[in-house]
Amino acid sequence: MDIFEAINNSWQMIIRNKMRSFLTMLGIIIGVMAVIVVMSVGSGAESLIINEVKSIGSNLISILPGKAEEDGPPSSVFGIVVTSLKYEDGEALFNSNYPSIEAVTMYVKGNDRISWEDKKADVNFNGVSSEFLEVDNGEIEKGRFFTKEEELSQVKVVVLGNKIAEKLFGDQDPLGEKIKIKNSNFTIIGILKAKGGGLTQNQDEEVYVPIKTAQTILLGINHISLMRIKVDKPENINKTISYIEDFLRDRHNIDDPKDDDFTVRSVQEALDALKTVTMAIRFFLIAVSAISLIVGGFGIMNIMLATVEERINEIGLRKAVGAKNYHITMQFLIETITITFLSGIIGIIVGLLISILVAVIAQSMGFKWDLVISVPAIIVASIVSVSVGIIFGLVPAKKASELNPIEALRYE
Amino acid sequence: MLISVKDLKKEFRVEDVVTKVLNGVSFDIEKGEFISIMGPSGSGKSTLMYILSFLDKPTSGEYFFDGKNVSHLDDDKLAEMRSSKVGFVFQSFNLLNRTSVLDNVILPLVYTDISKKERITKAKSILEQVGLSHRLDYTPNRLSGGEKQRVAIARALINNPEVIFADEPTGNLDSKSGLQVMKLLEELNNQGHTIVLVTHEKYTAEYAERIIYIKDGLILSDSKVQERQTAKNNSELLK
Repeated sequence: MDIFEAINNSWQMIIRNKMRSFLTMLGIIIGVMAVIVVMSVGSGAESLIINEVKSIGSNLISILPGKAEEDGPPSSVFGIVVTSLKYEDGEALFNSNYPSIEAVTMYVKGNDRISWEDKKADVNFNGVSSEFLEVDNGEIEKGRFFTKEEELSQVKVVVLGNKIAEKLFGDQDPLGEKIKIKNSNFTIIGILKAKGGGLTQNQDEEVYVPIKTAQTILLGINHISLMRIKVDKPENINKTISYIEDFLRDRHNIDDPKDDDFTVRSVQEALDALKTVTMAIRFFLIAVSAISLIVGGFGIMNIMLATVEERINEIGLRKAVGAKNYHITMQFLIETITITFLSGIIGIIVGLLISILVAVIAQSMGFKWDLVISVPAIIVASIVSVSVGIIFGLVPAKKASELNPIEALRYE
Repeated sequence: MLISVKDLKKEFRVEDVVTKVLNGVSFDIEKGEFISIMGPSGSGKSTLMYILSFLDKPTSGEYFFDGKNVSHLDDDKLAEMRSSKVGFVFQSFNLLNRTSVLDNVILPLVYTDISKKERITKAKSILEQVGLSHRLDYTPNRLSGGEKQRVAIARALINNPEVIFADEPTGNLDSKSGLQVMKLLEELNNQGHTIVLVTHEKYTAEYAERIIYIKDGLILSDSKVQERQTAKNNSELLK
């Protein structure tokens, strides 16, 4: 009996009992589908994070005010105001001419309702230094960004994010118009190119004013909430972090690193932490899917045992006309494998469809979500479904082959 | 001499209870013979047939087939003997009900090296021989009892067996279909096939040229049939 004949026989059996075959296969279909979806959606989510990082640049170092525990976030992240970082720290850092530091930009943040004529919007406003575009990989769509001179002379100019400009002005040209932020009029000098939504914030919906203006006119503070530094090459990041830490400790008269009043973080570091988390989640979900595969396997074993019982006469006859135990074993094993393999294929197809659907929905919502079809996941799913067939088909197949032909022939 | 058994014994052991089914049976069967094994139920006639047809092994005694001692073959060797040396006709036909007549007949060849094309050619010619070439694509549940048994006979013939074992072949048939089946077996015997018929009906047994009568696991008698039944004698039934 050749293998194609056996597969064909199995196919006939599946077709003959469509409903039962489908229910038998369901466990494996769901298990395989889950694995494919988890792998694909996991990769998609990861691509979202990586795209996010790429859009702000992976060779960035952030300096936040306040001391952080090892790997944890500094307290300023939770909204506690820490005033230990000043504009002058950034200036001094840049002026120290460390070769790997290409640009430094400083931030203060706030939010308020802005208005133009009768239109209003609640936005986050950022006070940033003039190097913002270089550090943030931003681009101007229309007009220009403010200069160092404007930054230092506290002029009231503003650059709008792409979405907020559209929201307030529609088709009209916003350049030269004045918007109100905290009762002060700011002249619009530029519009940023759209960057797309990120995980944490949407830059397209924010506005940018010179940092000194924001500090004195809008917020009345003299500290900064964030400093970002662009490093020439990613491999110089760790070296630069050490340099910055030493530099700031020196400036703030700190002897013991335990007393630091600032925290230095690299984007790469944050990315690694995120990756560890997504890996862990993915591993957990795959483990859950694997349990579904095992449960499905037992379901198939159960059905195959019932099938053997049902077809005892056939087994007896096959043995009587010359089938060896091996032939019977192979027949039932191939039948089980055909079922699990077919389940695997269906699971893969359904899994891929769901992955595509998730990607399409995510993309339509403006996320930078890549559709990742994991070929290794498909190969692994196929191998696993065949293996499940072998593992859970063996017991029924053995049972069938060991039947006594006489008893099997007489069984009623 | 095709078959020779000497002091064949068979006992079944279920836990501590031993049931002796054959208590020392000896006889020979020549090539081309038509022989009936008769006996009441529980006499051991079926067990004897199972041993002769390689479905079972004797507990003790010797079995020679074509001069070779086959008393102690392992399962695979027994399967090979069944595949190449014997054909079966059962009381309840034992056809695969959802498989076509053609594929039912081909089944024994599935476990041989014969090519697919050759299998089909062979099956078609044998089905013609039993008068069923117009039923190739039918499934057995659309056939009458007599037709089913003829399919079973075709299946028994497909591997050119040395012996055909027929276990109560007319037991589930009306008398007309039964007669047709016996006529077919008669013809096969005339063509030179060795036939071993197991039955408890004296009338059917008398189609054979020789009857071995078994009771309580022993041969009670082994004698030539004086007046053989032939299909001709009953030909008015066939009309």
